[in-house]
Amino acid sequence: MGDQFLKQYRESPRSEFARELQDKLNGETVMQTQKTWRQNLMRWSPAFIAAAIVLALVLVISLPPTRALAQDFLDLFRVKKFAAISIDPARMKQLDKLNVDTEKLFADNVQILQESGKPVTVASVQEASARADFDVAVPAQAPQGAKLQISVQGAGAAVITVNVAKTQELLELAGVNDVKIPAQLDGAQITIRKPAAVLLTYKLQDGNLVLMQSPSPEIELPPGVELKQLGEIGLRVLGLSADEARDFANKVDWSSTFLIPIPANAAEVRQVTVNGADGLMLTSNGAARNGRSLYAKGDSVLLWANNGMVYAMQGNTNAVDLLEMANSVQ
Amino acid sequence: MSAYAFTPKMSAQNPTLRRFSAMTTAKSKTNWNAVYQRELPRVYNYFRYRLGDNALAEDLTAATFEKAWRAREKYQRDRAAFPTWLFTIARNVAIDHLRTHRAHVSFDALEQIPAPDSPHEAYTRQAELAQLGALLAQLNEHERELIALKYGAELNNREIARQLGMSESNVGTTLHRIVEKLKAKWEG
Repeated sequence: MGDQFLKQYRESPRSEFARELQDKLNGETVMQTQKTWRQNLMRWSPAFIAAAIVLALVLVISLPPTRALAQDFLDLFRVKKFAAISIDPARMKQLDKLNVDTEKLFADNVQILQESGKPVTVASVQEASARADFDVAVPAQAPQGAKLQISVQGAGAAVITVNVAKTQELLELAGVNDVKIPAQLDGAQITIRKPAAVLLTYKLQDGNLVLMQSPSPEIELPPGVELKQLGEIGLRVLGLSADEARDFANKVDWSSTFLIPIPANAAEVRQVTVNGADGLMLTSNGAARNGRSLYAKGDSVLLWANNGMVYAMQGNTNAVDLLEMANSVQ
Repeated sequence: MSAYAFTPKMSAQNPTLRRFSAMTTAKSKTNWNAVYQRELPRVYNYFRYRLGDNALAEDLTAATFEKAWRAREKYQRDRAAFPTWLFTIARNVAIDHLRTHRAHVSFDALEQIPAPDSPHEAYTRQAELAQLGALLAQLNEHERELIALKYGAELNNREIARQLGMSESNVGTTLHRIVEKLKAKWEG
């Protein structure tokens, strides 16, 4: 007996086990994006910071100072509209190469009020509704033969304190040298509250179909914040010229718009209607930065909202089938 | 550069959207599917050699990958090779298990190994594996860990040394001694 015999004790894992575990990990990958607020807020790559500036500064709506003061912190941002903006892929690569340690840079600027915790797998839609505190909708036309996994992600909340100097530093690193963050924003606190979310994962042989639903997140704004101006800055980071950024900022309803930057070569974007509500269908064309893509060619994500709830459905199926299934959600 | 606006509605924290955003913005240079395919057999066999129970090995393998996947953004390629990081997690999972199930030394795995075609070969192999399992069960925890990392996880001596805080030469010497001990008992 020797070395070789010891090696012969090895065996391959059962294929069912390997497949089920991989499915579970893939499911958790989706949920992981919500896992903790600290990770979400502090793990951004430089490219995502560009989006973050749009999402946290642009997205967080511009309110006329007088109106905001009158309502005294009671103004809330709720997602009611959705916008996609086409970005030059070369600009995304530029931002990606900045290699900024954002965790260190913003370590003191994020306070977690409520950890959303780990996703919890539950046994039924009723249990998910009870945990998430809203009535979970299900597609009447669910995929046939699919195994359904239901997960609930708890609510979370965080406060971001604006640090003008650090944000300015990021802008300069991103090559935007002709704009200045308003000094009066320094120390302003933005509170983000994310309600619980429910994820229905339909496991199929050729991939998963996922429906996420949640009440709209809320962002509480301090009075006097003129975020339209900051929105323009975010758009500059994403590569728009000064004129383009100003023009776009003037067209967007900043009181309720969630903006998604999409590299021009990454996806087809179409406006659709889901149960009478406006929706956005994003279909990946398989183009990859860094040689790979999280989404295969043909993967679609459908986003829509209804009665204060926001929904996202994702799967490797054609857009027509995805839309039909979304229309059956009730 | 073009800009276009639409008017649907969506959550700022939507996980699917964030995943989609990740496609366009996040720095993702690791092919996690490939990592999974490559590392799954190694982690699984590490637990088999360590604990001698296929069902338990599956449970702990799943626990290891779930922990690793949840924390994978923390993995920094400049600090440690991925297997080193992954097996640090696996070893902690094993340690936690052994702490709470100290007496568990099952060798159910030996009965589950697919038999060769020939009945005689099947009998011989089953008998050999049963004997090997019994011998492995007689090793102390440190020796068993070394065998599991070497033959289950297929780590080289340098990687094992890093895991266990030993010198590479000491790993080689100790492994040689363990194998010789197993061999002596086997032939005895």
